[in-house]
Amino acid sequence: MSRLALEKLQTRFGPAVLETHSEHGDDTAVVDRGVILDVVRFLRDDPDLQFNMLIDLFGVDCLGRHRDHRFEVVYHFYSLGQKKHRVRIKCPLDADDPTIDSIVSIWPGADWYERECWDMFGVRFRGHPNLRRILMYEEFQGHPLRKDYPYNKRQPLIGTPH
Amino acid sequence: MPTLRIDGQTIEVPPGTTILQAAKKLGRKIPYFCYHEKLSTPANCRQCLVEVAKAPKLLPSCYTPVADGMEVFTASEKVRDFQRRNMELLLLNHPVDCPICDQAGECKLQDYYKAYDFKPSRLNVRPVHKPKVIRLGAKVVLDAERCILCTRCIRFFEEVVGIRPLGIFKRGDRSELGLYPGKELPHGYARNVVDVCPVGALTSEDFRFRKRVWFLEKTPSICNGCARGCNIVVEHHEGVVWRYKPRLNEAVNQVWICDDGAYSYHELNEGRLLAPRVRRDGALVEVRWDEALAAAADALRAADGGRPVGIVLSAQATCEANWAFVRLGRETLGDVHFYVAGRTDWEGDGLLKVSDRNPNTLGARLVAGEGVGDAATLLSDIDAGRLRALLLVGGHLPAPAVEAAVGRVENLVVTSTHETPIARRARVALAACAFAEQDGTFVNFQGRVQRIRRGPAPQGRSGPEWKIALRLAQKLGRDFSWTDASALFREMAENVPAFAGLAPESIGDEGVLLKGYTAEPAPAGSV
Amino acid sequence: MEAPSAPARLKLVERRPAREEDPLGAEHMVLQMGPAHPTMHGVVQLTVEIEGETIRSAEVEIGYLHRAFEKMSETVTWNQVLPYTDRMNYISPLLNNVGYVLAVEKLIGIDVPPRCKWIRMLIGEMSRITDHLTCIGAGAMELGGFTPFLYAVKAREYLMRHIEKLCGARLTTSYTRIGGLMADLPDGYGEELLAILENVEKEVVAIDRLLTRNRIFMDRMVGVGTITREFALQYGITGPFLRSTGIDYDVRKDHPYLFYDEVDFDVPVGERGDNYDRYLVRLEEIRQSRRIIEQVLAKMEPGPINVDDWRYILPPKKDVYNSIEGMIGHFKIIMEGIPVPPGEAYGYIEAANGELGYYVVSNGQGKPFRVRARGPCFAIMQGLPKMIVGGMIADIIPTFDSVNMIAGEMDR
Repeated sequence: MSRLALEKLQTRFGPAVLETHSEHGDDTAVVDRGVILDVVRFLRDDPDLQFNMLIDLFGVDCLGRHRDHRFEVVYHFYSLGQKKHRVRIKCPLDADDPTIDSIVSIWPGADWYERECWDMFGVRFRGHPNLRRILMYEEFQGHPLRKDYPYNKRQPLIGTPH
Repeated sequence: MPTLRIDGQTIEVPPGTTILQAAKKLGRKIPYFCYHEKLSTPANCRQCLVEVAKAPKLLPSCYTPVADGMEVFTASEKVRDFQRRNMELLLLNHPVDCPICDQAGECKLQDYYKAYDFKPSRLNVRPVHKPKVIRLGAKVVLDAERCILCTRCIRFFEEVVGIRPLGIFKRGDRSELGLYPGKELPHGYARNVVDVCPVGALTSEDFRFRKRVWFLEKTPSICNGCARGCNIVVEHHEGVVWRYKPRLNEAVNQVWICDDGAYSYHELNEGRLLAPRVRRDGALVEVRWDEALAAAADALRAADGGRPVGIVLSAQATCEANWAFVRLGRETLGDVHFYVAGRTDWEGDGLLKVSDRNPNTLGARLVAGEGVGDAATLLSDIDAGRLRALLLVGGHLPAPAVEAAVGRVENLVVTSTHETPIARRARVALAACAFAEQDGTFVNFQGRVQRIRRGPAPQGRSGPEWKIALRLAQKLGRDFSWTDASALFREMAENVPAFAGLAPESIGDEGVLLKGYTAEPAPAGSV
Repeated sequence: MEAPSAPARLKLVERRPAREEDPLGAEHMVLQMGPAHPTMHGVVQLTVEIEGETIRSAEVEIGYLHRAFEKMSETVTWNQVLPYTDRMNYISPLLNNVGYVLAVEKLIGIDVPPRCKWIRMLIGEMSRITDHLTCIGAGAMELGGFTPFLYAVKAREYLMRHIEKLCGARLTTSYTRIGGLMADLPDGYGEELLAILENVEKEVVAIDRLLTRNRIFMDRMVGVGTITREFALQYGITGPFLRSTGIDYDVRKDHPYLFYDEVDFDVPVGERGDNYDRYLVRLEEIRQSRRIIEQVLAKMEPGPINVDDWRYILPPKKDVYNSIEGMIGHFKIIMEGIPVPPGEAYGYIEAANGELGYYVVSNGQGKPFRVRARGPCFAIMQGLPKMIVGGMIADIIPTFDSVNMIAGEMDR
């Protein structure tokens, strides 16, 4: 896939790239949230990489997975030129401050994905033009995909079970 | 101290440690059936065999002591192959009955088959049939076909209880577990063999066919059967408690529990007081909490010639609940006499069971402080007409005479988990939830504080006693700021000398001995 | 104690975009399309601001079909997620089944037998045909062409019945399993399928003749809903939508999974990126799928369909009822789920509307830790406002049709 991307990221960002691995052939770089905008721009603009498609963006709640951090925001990029390679970027976020820079300015298509991540996990995207719920309704309390949100919890607008 | 290598990891252990124990320390998993940490080791199941460098054949890790420089392999090709072949033999005569077996879901045969074998059997012989549904006494039922002859149950009775009711009969593949002629399992500690049995051979009549184990939620707690406070796991599903299982605590109950304690969970599901009641026209009627608390406040405030109010703290309730009522009494009712009462004693057995049938007698006394009365002083005070009103926490009284006297008090407010006789005679009966349904602490007779945790949701409209105290105090014109049981515990730590310096977080799984109490050695016998 | 009293009535939130004042005083009108509208397949709400017949701004509101797929997946075993996957896409459910198991198999690292792979390709292509037929037929109907719709549904029905023969259900298929399939193909399945495809082709030809050179149809489709390559890339748009702009990205060709590298097929591309090109791409893909199916049937050989490993595949019923090993195996897989090693993997396939990806995370338990589904429609629907703004209100219909929005996959 794209070992090249991982190597270039490590050279370019040094210690801000916390970890890289290629489990099951999925090349993954774990980066510090502080550099996410630069990383995304670098991936898109570097002539050797040319990641010109944001395939997916979503959150993972790591509660109970024995990680130092609580949330991960995962980005999947794809390069649709000659390379046809993929890379996954992961940003760990802490429970007390799940905030990260929005990449909407670089990828307009990230708009809905970031809204969904906010809706489902309560991750705040700094600089997002319209960060409101997308799948749930505005009055919904909490963030349903968090591990501490009980799957069978009921809320007023949903109604009570018989 | 011998140093050895297990799967490439080096570890130093005291001499006499077995390979299995050393491997456990390293977090290496070795499967075993017959080994039990509180029983002797016969090494007869052969499942725990491991490869040791320079040893001519595989060695039972549960029995082999470590030696300096030993090199152990717990998952080599040879070991894996042997584990698989052993599983095949153990399963050879096993009936195909997981769907109707109570052990299914917590069965070592299933777990190890999945972890170490998971292939079809290569053996094709007629299975040997053995007797089934043999009632051994004391609610224990044997299915000899499921038995893998590990002898854990035999050893439990011999080494822990000190009797020999069980033995292995016949020879070879016809060997089977059974009772010696004329013997049966005595009530007392027999139920422990159900926990000790690694497979579904011994099951409890009390639990059989009633609930599938994978539905059960497990909450660590303390048995409220007697003042020992055995550590248990409350297993419940959808608000109903289905069984208690003992939990390891070397200082209190090791891994055992008495039958009376283990079966006492039935009380949680029967005869509960589910809603607050107020006496109207001679009959108790269910009302809303607001009304009940207002009526209770009225009863306690009933002005009558300056006589004091009596508050009977409960040896059945948590320290937090008792503390809440102590503050309620002191700060809202003025002149208050405190007493501590609980259930009638039963006979201790010198092993785990002690004669005091209340889990928190000591705790209630410590919380009440100096000058607290008991059932006898309560009786004399009532007879002498010294009390204008009585608040009885817990709804239990130790003797019929006391009960009769308390029943005569006109302004009687009772908080009770059950519809006890005294709760039926009260002017106001407030529904408290059972110990398994709330957080809190008990202090056992040794002076050990142990935590109980909320498992199932409170039944009906009942609530924890401290919350009742909180809301009753509001009706009496005093707002306390308690948010949960932990907040109350912190308050106790500041105000009750015995609890000084403790915090709810500092009470681990094993509990903490209060200052001034020394750890008693494990009780007589070997239980 | 008593439950807290009911909360005060929740405040309704004003969501309308601010209205832009026209200098001449002509008022813009805000029009709601959906969530229940005759031409909206699936529940979605379009709020459009129009000036006369021209759309000035548009906003898409999704989430009406959110059924907590990702949350529910965390509460069931790995195999029990499968029924949820086919309910996510009610037009080509088999493709979703395949996509999910491929992701989990990637995480476990198991390789299924060749026959299983061929069958997965076969059912995938059948589903692709039904999907495209639905899209083309419904699109034509909403432009007034009812006859092509009937032809398309008739052809789709041939295939649906054949799918029903395969697994007993038309839409709720749940046909794949992690490590294999529910069952092998019925006897004579391939021959019957070839005959069916012959009939499908007849209907497709009829549709082709009715629509492709139809003046009215072309007027509504050509040059409408045009997108550029840059736009498609920016929004992560894949599938026929992307290919209509001339980019030949197809997961089957560029990252072959199963045996797609062993069959011969073409990836049709458009030029203009408009509705008409998307129609042509879909029409051609139906024919290419038939080509693939014919090759699959020729290359497929009898053999096992499941991996030979009891840890993943339920033991045969004969063993379950007659041996304790089979019984325990069955019990453990059903009650605890198959053992999936800790880790994460992203599996992706070319579904009918674009790249369908599943990101699965395991913590070593029998239940998924996280399942993320990346449906192709989510990205396309996000770009929809940009495609319709500036156009006429009537053009929403063909453009929206060509998205072939699957609300189940988008809202999950």
